[in-house]
Amino acid sequence: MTEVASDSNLALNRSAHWVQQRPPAACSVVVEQPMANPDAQVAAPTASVPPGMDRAAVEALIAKHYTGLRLLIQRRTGDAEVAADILNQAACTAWEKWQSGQIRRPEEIGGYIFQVAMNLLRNRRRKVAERSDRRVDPELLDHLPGNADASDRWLEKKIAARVKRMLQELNSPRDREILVRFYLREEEKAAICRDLGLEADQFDKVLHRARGRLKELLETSGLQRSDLFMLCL
Amino acid sequence: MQMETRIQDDPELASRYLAGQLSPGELQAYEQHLLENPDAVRELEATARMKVGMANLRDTGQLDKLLQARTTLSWQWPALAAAAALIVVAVGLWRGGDAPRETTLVATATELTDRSGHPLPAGPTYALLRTRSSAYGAASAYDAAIELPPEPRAIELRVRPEAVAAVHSVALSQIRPDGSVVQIGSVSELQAQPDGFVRLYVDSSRLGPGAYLLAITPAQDRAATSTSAFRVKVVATHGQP
Repeated sequence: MTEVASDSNLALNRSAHWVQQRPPAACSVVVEQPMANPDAQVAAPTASVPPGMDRAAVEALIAKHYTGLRLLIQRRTGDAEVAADILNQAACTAWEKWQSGQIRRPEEIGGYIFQVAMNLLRNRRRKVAERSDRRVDPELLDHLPGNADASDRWLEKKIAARVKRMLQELNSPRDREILVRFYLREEEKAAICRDLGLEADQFDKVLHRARGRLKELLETSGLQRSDLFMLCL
Repeated sequence: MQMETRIQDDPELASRYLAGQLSPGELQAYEQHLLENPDAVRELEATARMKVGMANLRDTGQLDKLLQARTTLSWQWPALAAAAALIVVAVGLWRGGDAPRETTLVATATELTDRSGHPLPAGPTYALLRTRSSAYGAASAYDAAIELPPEPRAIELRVRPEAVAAVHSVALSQIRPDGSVVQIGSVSELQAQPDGFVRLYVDSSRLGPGAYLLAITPAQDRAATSTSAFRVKVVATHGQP
């Protein structure tokens, strides 16, 4: 498995909203040239990004292009501050790897951000599950309302509106059921196919169409450029 | 290379990754794939948004309503025809070159294969055309009754649409006992024969006893205003369960 960060540094940098934070002490940062135009790319910087990209630019990259990851982690942790710590650590690790030359191409940064963030989330869930004094079902964390700020609630509402429209456009109740059971309830494909009498390729086709339609809805939503950080796929 | 190909072709990996459901081997391979493929990261981000959006809909009570919004249709013919039109519109909207291949309903018999990849043996032929008794007729009326063969067969359907056109799209849906309509197959770019019939084939193993709706629409009719819909009853072979 590729090296990823542990969650031992998560307590280092708690604040209300991670994108407004300064780099944590554990991440020694030499701020050099900021990323030229983080809005210009969809999900990952390209080779046109200056090699001296700083830590703040990595944070901006996450804020603009990985809204789904950020909101998902907030939901999974049930705590915006913990989510902020996870994302800070992800940004820090990605930036350090960039600085040390372990990331060869700028477009690889996104993969590291996801990898580090998800690994930290797994570690946290595992520790929560193992704690005898405060045993909590990790699955319950998904259902906690969380303490996201108003802008995050607005972003989530906008995303939900597009998912809702995609679901409404499906004329098959079966297809809606497939998507909800797979993406939300995280049931296994085999179980869903067995219950609904589906072949694997039928299942894949439903997912393929839904993802494509959601992408269309996000791309053609007509929101202003300032909103693009939640719309780019 | 095989693992890489499998990852690229597997639409469920992103969701399982975010759910923490990958095995250690899958996790290692997928994360390596993420580092090397920005497109896979985009897919992952899109999947995260799908999950977040659905969770929000659930929390706000909208999801249950969406799931309950079934296309509950009675056996009244006009309602079924309307449903058929919707289905054919969906066929047109969703038609795409990179979609997985549809294997229930096809244009030529050779496209239907068994588990070994061999073409299915030819089965019986059924003609579907509007008759005076079936149009807006009694609730029990069907345009055709298909008897399922004991072994998988390529059943030929010869459909005569009411609208004249050179090319048609067809969707086949199952009508559940509660009246909801669930599409099980579709095929497009079907050429009309000189006699006005459109020929297509269905894999008998994909059918079960029950009621079905076959909708056929001219390819150019994006509004599906000239859809012809046929009610089909599928029955098990005598002696079969």
